[in-house]
Amino acid sequence: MSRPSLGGASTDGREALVDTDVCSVLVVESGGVAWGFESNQVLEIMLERDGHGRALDIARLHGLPAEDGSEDRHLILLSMWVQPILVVGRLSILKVDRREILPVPEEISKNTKTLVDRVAFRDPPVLLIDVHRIAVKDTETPVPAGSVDLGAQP
Amino acid sequence: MSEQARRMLLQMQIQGVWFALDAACVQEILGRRPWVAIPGASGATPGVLEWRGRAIAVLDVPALAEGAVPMTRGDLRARIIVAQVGGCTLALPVDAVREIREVNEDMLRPRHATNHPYALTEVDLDGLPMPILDLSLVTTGILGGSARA
Repeated sequence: MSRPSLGGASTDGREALVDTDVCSVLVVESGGVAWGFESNQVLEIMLERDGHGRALDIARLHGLPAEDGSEDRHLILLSMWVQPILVVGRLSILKVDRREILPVPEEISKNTKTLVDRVAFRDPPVLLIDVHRIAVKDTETPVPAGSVDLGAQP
Repeated sequence: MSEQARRMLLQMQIQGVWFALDAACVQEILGRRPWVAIPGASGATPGVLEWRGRAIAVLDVPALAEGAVPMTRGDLRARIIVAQVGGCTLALPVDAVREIREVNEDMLRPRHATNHPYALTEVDLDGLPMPILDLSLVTTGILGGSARA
């Protein structure tokens, strides 16, 4: 009897036993909200103290209170071309079925500055951040709202 | 004798105020269910609700007008009306829903006793003047960016 291969059809042509419709999401609770980043979009996770020029404080950007005092302060780099995102809170990895992840409708996304483009309907819900909604890093432009200056790039 | 045009109106109550809504746009009436607040979203559409495998915008009717208390994260109302206007599907959390009433078109009149920016007409039902919420006006306001935040 042949064994099923990972993520594809089994060697004898039957349906694979591995569910490939699951993605891993990096989750952090910051400002009382669970923010999510698809793991395959995350380039790097750094400690805040390592510095990286400017960063977007995800909670402050969305008008939520900053949680000063927490020791879990990380920078999440999604692309070399956009500002890293500052998150305050514990990081965790969640396996999420893609069918649970639904796009935010245009009626909401059109008139808001939110970086959220999808929602995973879980308990608690996870708000997924879209890298394309983050402004391109440009040191010539003024610091956008919600940015924090972490000092000179090391 | 010509037959009079008829309108089907759904009655809904939010924060003690009764509204009428064109029943033709109503897709479904749901019970109390949680919605997800999107931080940074406008007051009129503060979040999303999962409905039939998609996320639809929550429309907070009180946030459309002055003087009412808008919803905040975690607020739940007893009923949710799912309505569709054009390409927009909206979830309207309300406190109560009453049966659909069929009325003659000539019972509708320009708003006079009521004053809601998204209800240009009103109707008297059982002696109670009700603003008729115009969802196409609301969606135009939302998508055009003129809805009250």
